[in-house]
Amino acid sequence: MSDLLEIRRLRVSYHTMAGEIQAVRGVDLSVGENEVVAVVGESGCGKSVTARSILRLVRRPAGDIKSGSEILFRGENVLSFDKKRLRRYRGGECSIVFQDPLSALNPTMRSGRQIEENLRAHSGISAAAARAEAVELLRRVGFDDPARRARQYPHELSGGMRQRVMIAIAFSNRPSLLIADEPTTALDVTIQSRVLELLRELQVETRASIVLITHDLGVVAGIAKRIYVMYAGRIVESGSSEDIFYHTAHPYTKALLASVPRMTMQSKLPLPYIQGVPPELIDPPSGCAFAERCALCMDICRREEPKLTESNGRHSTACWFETLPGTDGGGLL
Amino acid sequence: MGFLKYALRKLGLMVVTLAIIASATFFLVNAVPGNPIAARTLRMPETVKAELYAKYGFDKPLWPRYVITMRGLLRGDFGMSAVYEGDTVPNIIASKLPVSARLGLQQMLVGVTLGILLGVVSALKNGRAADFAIIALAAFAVSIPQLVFSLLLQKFFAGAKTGLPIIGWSGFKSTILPTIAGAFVYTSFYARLMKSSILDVIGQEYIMTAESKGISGFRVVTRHVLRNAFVPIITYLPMTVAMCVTGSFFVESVFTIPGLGYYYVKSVQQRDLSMVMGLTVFIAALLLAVVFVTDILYKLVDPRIRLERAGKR
Repeated sequence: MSDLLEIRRLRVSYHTMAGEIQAVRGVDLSVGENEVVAVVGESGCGKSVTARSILRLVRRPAGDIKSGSEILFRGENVLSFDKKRLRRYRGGECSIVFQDPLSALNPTMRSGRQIEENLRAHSGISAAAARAEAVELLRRVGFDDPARRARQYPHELSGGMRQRVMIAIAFSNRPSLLIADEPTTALDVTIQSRVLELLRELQVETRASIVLITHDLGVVAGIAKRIYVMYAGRIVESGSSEDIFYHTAHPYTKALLASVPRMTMQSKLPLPYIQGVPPELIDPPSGCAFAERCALCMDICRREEPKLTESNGRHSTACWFETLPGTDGGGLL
Repeated sequence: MGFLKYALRKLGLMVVTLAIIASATFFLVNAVPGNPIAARTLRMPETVKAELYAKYGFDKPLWPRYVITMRGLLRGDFGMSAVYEGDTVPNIIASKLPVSARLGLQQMLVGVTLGILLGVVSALKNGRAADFAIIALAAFAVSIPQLVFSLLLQKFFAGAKTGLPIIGWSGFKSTILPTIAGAFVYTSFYARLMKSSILDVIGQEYIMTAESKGISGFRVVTRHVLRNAFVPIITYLPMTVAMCVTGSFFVESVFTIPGLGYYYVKSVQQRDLSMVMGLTVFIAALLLAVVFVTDILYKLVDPRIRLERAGKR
């Protein structure tokens, strides 16, 4: 079975006054049919830029998807789609849910209309049919009074409701691929799990694949089958959720896992966090990008960039400590 | 808070504001020594002079005059001109306002429409040649004083060749040059306002959402960008209406148009106290009414703005 989405050598830069920021520096990523894949990393690691690239939402001229990058959707390169093909793809075959639904919904358009717009862009249905369908979608995402909600503006809804509207828009044409860019980050903690649950239900129901972008490993745990860990514009570790959680290879992933708060922690102790800051991507380091913050840093780490290397099956990591003969971090930590 | 309560509260505030404006105007005009009839009465016999002073109220000290003036304003009695026999505020407004209003609305119609169009083009072609040309033109237009621009128009476009009169106010043709003279300012203001507003909206995430739906670029611009970009424009429009209907001194002077702006500034120069007071209060009331209308318009365009919130401010 060939993959639904395959990203090859994706490089994206942003041109700013200070220089060219290499936000994504060669990312390879694949998503199978009916699969939920998570991309995890801290702010500025390039995960959102990767997400936007999949729908070609990186805005020129500031943003620039470098030539040589490939984003294959069912074998077709999204980056070479013409206007017509791109319109069919966007919202039809692939949709996106953004982090903050308040800023992602048009404030001057009723929520029902925003769903209808997506429906009508991809089929010849009448305005009346689209209206009915939008109400039905709102019911599906959990509104008790969908007809009334359809007439309301985004500011009249709560944060969780807005995200449900956003999800209704995204699923309206039963896309094969959904990009969820931090879909729960802007929501109250109590709402987060319900929105995640909804995404999961709809995924099972429509058999869509989901790329879940998040900084929160806790969000990922129950839902993603495979996980990519991103750092400073690169994938540093990828594998099944089990590999990532129980056979963690990369020191960055370990540090991330260690900083997830747990119920069993003593409340008086400070939360563990990763010392230092990620490198500037205007002038990325020649060695491992995590070297400066890594407890296991060796000489070679500052000199040479470690390649993403498969260790067993589909579990890969980009770390000298893991791949050089004679070192075995896994056993020590 | 209901709409009625909101409106009443706003009206109350308007009355207080007007009283402050009227008082400030009164004391400022009176802070200058002398009075409008001093020169005229220099060689008159004392009895006639005293009678004239009494007629216009200049025989009384400042404070009693203030009380009389304010009481008059409350009754809607603005007094009469001390310079031009028979001029009163209502009849000046009745005769001059239609002229200024017609000219002003023509200027606005041309200027704002053109400005919005240029702003849209400039924003959508951001960073390209068309954008630079428009922004340079807009900067150029605001840099030329209206007085100079009016004179240039007269020199180059009036006369036998075009058939446009140099001065005067008779028929549509005579309004063309003054309209252009005044419209330019609005064009450049609205072009820049529209451009920055559109660029601001384009940077918003919901535009990315719109793009992610696979709708046409045209639809993204008309349904998502423009509608939201008009919100700040709406707040400026009523103010522009108020400003343009009350007339422009420069344009009206250069083209000798019998409008309110020209008369108003002349009254100030001649310290025609009652007329200055009356016209100031009238214009201030107009502007305040316009601010009120703006609040309501704003609410219609942008559903996020609630009257309650505006009332609490």
